[in-house]
Amino acid sequence: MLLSREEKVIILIIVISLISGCLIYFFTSFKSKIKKENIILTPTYVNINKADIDELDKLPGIGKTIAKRIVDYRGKNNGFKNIEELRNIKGITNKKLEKIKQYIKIE
Amino acid sequence: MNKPFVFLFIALAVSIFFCEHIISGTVVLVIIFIFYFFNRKKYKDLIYFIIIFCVGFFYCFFRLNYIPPNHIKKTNYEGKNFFTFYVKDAIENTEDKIYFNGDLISIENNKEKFSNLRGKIRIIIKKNLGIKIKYGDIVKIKGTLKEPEEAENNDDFNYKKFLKYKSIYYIFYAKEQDVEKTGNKIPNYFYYFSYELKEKLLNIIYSSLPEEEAKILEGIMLGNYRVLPEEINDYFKKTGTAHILAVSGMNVGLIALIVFLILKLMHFSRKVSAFITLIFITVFAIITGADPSIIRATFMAYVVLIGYLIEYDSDLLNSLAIAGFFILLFNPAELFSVSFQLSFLATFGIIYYSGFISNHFSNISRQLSEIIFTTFTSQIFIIPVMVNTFHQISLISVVANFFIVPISSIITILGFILWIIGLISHHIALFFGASIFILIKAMVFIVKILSSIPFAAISVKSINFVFLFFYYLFFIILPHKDIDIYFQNFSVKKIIGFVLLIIFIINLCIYKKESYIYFPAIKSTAAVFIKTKNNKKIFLIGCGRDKNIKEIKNNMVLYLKKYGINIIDYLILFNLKNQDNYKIIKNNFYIKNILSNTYFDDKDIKIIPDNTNISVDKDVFLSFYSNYLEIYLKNKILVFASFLNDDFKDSKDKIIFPCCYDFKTIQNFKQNNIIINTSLIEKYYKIKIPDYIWDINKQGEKMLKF
Repeated sequence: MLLSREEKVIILIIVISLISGCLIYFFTSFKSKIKKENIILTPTYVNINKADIDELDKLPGIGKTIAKRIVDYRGKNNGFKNIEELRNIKGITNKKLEKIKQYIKIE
Repeated sequence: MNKPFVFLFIALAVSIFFCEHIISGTVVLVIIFIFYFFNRKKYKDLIYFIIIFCVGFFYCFFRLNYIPPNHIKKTNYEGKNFFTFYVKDAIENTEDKIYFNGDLISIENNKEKFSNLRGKIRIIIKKNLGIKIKYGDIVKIKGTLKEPEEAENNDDFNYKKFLKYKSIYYIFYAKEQDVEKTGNKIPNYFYYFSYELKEKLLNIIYSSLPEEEAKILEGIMLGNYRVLPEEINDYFKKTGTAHILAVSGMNVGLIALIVFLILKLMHFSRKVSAFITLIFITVFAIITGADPSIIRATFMAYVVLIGYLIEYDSDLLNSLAIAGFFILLFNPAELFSVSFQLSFLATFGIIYYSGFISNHFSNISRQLSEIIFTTFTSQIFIIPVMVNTFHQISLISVVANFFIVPISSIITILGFILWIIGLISHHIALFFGASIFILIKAMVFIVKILSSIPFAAISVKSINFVFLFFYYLFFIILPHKDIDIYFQNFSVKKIIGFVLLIIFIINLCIYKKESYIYFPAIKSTAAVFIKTKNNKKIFLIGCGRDKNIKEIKNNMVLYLKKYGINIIDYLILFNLKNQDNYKIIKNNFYIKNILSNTYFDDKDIKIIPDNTNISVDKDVFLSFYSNYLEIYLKNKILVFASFLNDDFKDSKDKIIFPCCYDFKTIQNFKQNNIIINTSLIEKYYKIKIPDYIWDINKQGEKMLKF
């Protein structure tokens, strides 16, 4: 197979950068500068077992009053076991729960 | 006609230009008719030209002015409500905002719902939760619909017009917590998969490089310069290398080359390789946002690749014209987009001068001459657009590009390999990430050093239409030895070139022996610019909000550059708290003296105590007091006050520019010597200001002669 000059240069660049990349990766602090995978695109979910009133207040349809009820509920019941438990809180209707489901998690 | 599309493109472009600028368009038409008058053999072409021109004119007129009867624009609707949109365009994510264009489905409030209104709307959502809006989503959002604002100062970038050219008449502002996804329906699966792929590719970039370098790689590979810090953006702009942060022909060319190479190594035939490359570059064009520059490069690549498929050698100029013709046919308003102009003029310059350069400079090594002359010829053709849009040109662009273009080409190649490897193995991708990291570090280091050279970029006043015409005429006829008129052994071509150079130098150096005070219309900032008879420049900035960096960057810096300001003799910071506000001015101009009445952690700033007088020029001096600053200007006194109080009531001979004011106090002032900027105090925004008071925010910039 005949390769053109440009193609040979590209292959050379790739090989050199792979070798130098290995050296940089293992012998410099590069590794420590990399953040966790998917850092940019992962939504920042609100953990309803840990979030404070201000954080819960950001959720759609949840004001300070309901946020306080959520905090009180989890204090009395040792946290939420599943998201559906939120239905037990006064002011959280099925419709509201469906709306906030995409933003919350339990840990 | 050996280049039919060049002819078609010119005819269409002239008709669009005429449609929007009738006077200048008529001049262009007259010139074309004169050309045909002297070339009577080509009268057939003139008939074709007239036909295309007329069709183009009516088409353009219709596209730019027709608004369907059910369009929201017809209702002049504005205000806060629930809106439902269909997301049919690419979504841009920055650190704190989400931008996209949405197709309106309905508007509803507590009482009623309007489902018959349509229109494309620019949506800006403030982030705080991390919601993921995707192509094809149907979203119900509570927010405010507003008409975009007109340009604040003459010649400023007109965002309203920019959006109008994209058939967008409204901007919609909302917060993330007010967004509710109500459905999803994919309008086009090819686009859907392209956007999904974009997300994966972005993930690979951000998981293989540290965040800062990842942002730069995103700029180089996907053209999203918005994610870059302002400072880095400035380095590239000053050195004339900002084009590497916009996806262009270079990216498309390199990606096509790599795809071709991979397919060749996999023993694919040439024709199959060409076909697969076509698909790759189409996907690439979609994921990069289909900007005119990328569409131009993609179209040109199409012509070359289809040429491979049908075994036909394509002409580069004709390919460029094909790209231009189809872009304008799709949206005539692209002719007025800076991205379109820069991309086409730069490419035209390179193609047009390629023959001339290879004939004259064949003794220089190929690679070396390619970089130097590509930069040089492209710069020649884009300088007028750069001057009239950004009011700035880089004096070191050829040198900077000589270093930066090869590095960014290698980064593009490795970036593409990183994507391919990243789809297979994250661990191997990290090795490529490490190499790219070093290259990006080196590239930023070089642009930083080069941009710190004094006068690396200079401000230039706008160029008028006549100069523009002769400028392009000169560079179009320059490579043609046979086009010239000799007048007593003097070449008219050389005379035109010489005269243009002299006018350009005069435009840079000569100033009017007059004194002016300018009050620029800039939101949330109080600023005054003074030019004295002896060309001393004083720039006063003060008060305002602490976080008005963007306003200063996008408006104030541009405002000064528009007047060709490179040196500021006195920069006065009055009650200014945020250091970043003044650093932007410092980064863009050569400042001789910086004076401030508040403390700044900068050794270049001289702190001026109260009750101090400073002489600036023969007739100009400054008096600093605790709450105000007086500037004595020959026959006028300007008072720059922190607060308007009754002390100034008797100062009828002075011009008073207060940062803050009390509504009751301002009503008591019956004189017309007060200039205010209502955008400084938001809560007074809607209060009626007496007519005799000049409000910069409503009435625009103000200029006074003294």
